[in-house]
Amino acid sequence: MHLLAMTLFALCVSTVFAIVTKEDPREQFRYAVKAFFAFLGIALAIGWLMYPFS
Amino acid sequence: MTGAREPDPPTDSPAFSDPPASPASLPEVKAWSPQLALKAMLACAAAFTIPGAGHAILGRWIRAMLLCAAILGMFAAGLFLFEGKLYTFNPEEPLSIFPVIANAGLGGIYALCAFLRAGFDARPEVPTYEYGNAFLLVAGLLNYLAALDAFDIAIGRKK
Repeated sequence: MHLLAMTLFALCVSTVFAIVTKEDPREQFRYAVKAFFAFLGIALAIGWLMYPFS
Repeated sequence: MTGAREPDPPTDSPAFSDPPASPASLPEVKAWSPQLALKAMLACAAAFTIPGAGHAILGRWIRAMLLCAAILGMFAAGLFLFEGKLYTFNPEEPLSIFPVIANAGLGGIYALCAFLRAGFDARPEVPTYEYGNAFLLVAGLLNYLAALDAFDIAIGRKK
């Protein structure tokens, strides 16, 4: 459920950010993909960094 | 180490002599007219009423559908899947105005929920309750961005 929530959040937010910040459809798509994987990657990285202290 | 000071770069080097961005490269805002103001207000009002409707009025159908799917998807997931709640202002807790402002970004949907008295009940016993709240807050904030984007398109600041 946690991963689903995070993925859904990243998908929706990166879609809106791409539409709002970029004008060209190709740029929007590239930005959305980049932001989506950045959301997921950074969240997973921070999760693993916190793991030893849990 | 000679101690000799490097000479200053000449002021006519490219770093100093780059011309400022030409007005042609900047987005052109349309000249103000009552029709333009009406169009911009209509786009903003539509965007607040239904997410994506502002872009649809301006003929940006694909953007409108994507915005609608993303924002309504977040709202539906927050309310029904994760069982979050919409906030109301509590005068005893003045800081509760901030989540209300975020939720109120959903505009027409928030008003509909208030009218139906649906979605305002707290269910902290549900494990995903906090996720649901976050989804509902962010959905409202994203709709503010979408409405401002519709305004920018309407006045010609953005394509």
